[in-house]
Amino acid sequence: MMVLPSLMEELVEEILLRLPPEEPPAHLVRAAMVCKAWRRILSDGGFRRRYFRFHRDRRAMPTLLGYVCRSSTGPGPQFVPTTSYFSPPPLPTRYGYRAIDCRHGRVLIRVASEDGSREDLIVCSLVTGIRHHLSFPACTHKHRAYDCMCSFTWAVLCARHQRGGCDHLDCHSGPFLVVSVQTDYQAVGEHTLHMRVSVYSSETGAWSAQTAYCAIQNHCDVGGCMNPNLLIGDALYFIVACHVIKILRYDLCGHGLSVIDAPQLVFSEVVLIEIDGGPGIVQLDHDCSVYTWSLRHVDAYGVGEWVRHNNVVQLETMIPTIYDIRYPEDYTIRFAEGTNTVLLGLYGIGVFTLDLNSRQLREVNFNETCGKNCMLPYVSFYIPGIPLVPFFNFLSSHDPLMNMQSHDQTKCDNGT
Amino acid sequence: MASAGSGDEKAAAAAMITLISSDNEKFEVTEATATLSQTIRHMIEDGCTDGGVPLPNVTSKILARVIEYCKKHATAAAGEEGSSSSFSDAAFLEVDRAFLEELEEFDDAFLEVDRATLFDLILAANYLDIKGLLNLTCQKVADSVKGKTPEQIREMYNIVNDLTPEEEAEIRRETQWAFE
Repeated sequence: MMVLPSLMEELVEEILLRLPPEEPPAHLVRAAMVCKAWRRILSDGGFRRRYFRFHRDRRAMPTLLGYVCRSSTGPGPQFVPTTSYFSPPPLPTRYGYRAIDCRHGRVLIRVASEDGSREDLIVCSLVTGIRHHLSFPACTHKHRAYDCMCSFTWAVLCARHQRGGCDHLDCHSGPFLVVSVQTDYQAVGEHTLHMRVSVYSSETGAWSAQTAYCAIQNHCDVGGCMNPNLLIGDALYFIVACHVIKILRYDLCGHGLSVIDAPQLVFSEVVLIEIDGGPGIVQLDHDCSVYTWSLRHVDAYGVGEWVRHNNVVQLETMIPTIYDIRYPEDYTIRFAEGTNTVLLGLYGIGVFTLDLNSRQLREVNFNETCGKNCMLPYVSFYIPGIPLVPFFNFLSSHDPLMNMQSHDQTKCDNGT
Repeated sequence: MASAGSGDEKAAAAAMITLISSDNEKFEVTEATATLSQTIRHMIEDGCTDGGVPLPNVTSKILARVIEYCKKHATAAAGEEGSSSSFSDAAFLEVDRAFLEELEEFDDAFLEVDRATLFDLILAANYLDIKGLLNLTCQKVADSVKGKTPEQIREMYNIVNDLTPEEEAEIRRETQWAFE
């Protein structure tokens, strides 16, 4: 008589693929306990991907699953879940570790050596915990005098993102890019910000030899490119603070840099969001109202007209204690890419999610302990009823291939 | 399939293909029925069906069942296309719905087989690349696994538990909720 094990593994997979999604995924867990072969099939990344696609008619929505708390003073970055169904393996924690960007299931961590003499970067998969070490790009400024300074801003993303090459359902173990924006400026003299972008590819294991360059006239003594950044389509947007606010746009395909004017707001109030497929701004005004801005009538040079929308959310009607928030240092707004949600950290009050469409406010964490500029939203695809990540996480953690691996650090020869 | 006018349809119906099972039994089927199998469709396109199509992986017993499925679903496919051209006609929609119900009943009855036959049908559907049949049969097995304990699943399908007691205890401990 024919028995199930005599079916080819790919046909067993066809069967397991048809187990209905549910929450929690009891069918899948029980099936994983039948025998080694079934567990092997179920813990495979390819299966997860196919299972997701197979049940996709239930509509995968990018969902805010939590945020990485940068924790500049504590022992290192931490993941804070905003849902009950996603709890990733712990992030690397050590004094001097600081999370600086988070996207496509990966966290970018800046690592200072104990004596502070050098810095490196770690890209850590939030799902598998796999880490990849890389050095800083070579600093291009000439160290000619103390009046020349440079600073870095970073973004991490899936290497297959460009031209819609990845749906990011299961790419967290795949190749990635780190985009570095280096700003050089002279405190005395020409007052020009020199911005240079280079890209690290995990596939080549090196920073790009070519850099994209642009200069921005600055009429004050300080300035630079700031996080958080925003990815829309094939372009990364960064806020540049100089005597006015500018938006730097980096085209991932053409490697070109361009500068867009921004509405003249107080710098600390400006956070980039996506509106109608283009860059927009969300702003928490001093009257505790949340406004959005979008760019209209954009011409071929990226020049357009900023319009403030009347879709204002008045927080004081929702959070009575918000009047305790007086200074920009007391709050953080972060946009959850791909969603209509912003994460709102109000120091001493709590962490909230605000849906910009429905204007629904939800408290996700009673204690706001992250501090200013320290929340990095983690967005992933999630289908209601398929809480795949914790389940597959569990299976993966038993797979020796999935255990942490690190690549040799290369020497970093620039001190910034 | 049968998307052109009725004249072509007759021509297609006239084209017969001979399928030869592993035990050398010959089955005459219409091209419309045979081409539900992507494997056979490609053979027809490549012009290598003269003298019959040998299917060394499929017994006559299973091939007869597969052809039964393909005949029914080939008619369904032709029926669907016919009715879509006069979509606004309520009477046609009514016929359509009745036909779909009939097809569902057919599928349910078709799956009333023992497990060995079900696995043979899965293997044949996979070999002949018949998407609908593969989906139907695999879903049937998935439904039978659903809601069962690991022990019940092993017993049903004669699977040897090769997980070590430690591995088993570990999974059980970490996912206790799945067994409550």
